[in-house]
Amino acid sequence: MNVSDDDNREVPKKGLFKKEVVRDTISWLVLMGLTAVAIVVGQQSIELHWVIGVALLITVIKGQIVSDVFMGLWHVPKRWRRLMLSYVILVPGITGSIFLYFT
Amino acid sequence: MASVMESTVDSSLTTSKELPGDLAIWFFIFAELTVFAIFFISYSWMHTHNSELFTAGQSTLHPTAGLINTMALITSSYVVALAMIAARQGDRKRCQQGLMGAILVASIYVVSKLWEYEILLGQGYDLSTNSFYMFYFFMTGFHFMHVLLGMVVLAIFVVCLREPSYLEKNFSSLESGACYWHMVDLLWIILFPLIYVI
Repeated sequence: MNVSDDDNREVPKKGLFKKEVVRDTISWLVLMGLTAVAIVVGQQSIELHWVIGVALLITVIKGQIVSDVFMGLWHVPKRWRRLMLSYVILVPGITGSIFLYFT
Repeated sequence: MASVMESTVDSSLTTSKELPGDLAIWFFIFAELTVFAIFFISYSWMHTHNSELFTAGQSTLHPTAGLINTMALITSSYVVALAMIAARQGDRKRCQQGLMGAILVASIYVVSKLWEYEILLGQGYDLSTNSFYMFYFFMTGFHFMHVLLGMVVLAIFVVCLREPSYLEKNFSSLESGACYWHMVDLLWIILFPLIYVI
């Protein structure tokens, strides 16, 4: 661990921390809501292609929220954020394509 | 896909322009993500080529347990995010309490997963039953190990944070641990629909 990195760390004003708490709480509620929607969609007797599409779209959105908000990749150098987002989009995308193509 | 959080994430909240945690943890995180990506793609391929077998296997699972597991991990990840906000404020006590809360919530996942394993094993299903159960037990079991490791890491931080100067001297390590925990959550977010929903 580099102590000097920590010393150089910018400490924001208190009001910003409150905003961070509100932002994280909203994200958490959205994640919980999307999880419930995924379960409900999975139990509906609708066409499988729609279930796959909706479930994987929800997965992409949830993954993006976790990486951007919880991991804090929103404000880091873009290449890192892009790397994580490409994973969050590509992996559900590939698995979804396999399901949609072969089912 | 257009950035969903673009409108909600306020860039003024930025506390650091640098990657959170140590660089090494990010190499580790991406290595782990790659391994799991191979599992996810293999599972999808096998599912589509053994559709009846996998659908029958999925019908023996417990979606309620899956839902509880997902909500427990998401909540635990959220509590760790709050603990990191406290850490950035220099509030060592609140950070410690947050990490303890995260471990507590994660233990709901552990109990729920063990309960599901016990039911399935009691019904005679195990790794060698067929391809579906092989994938199910291997992927969820491997992920379960990651959850346990994450809980141990968080517990170590809880103990270390008793020392007043620990937070100032080891903020980066704390961030690394938090990022690992969020990765565990992220993996479950992808695993959950593959096994329980589709």
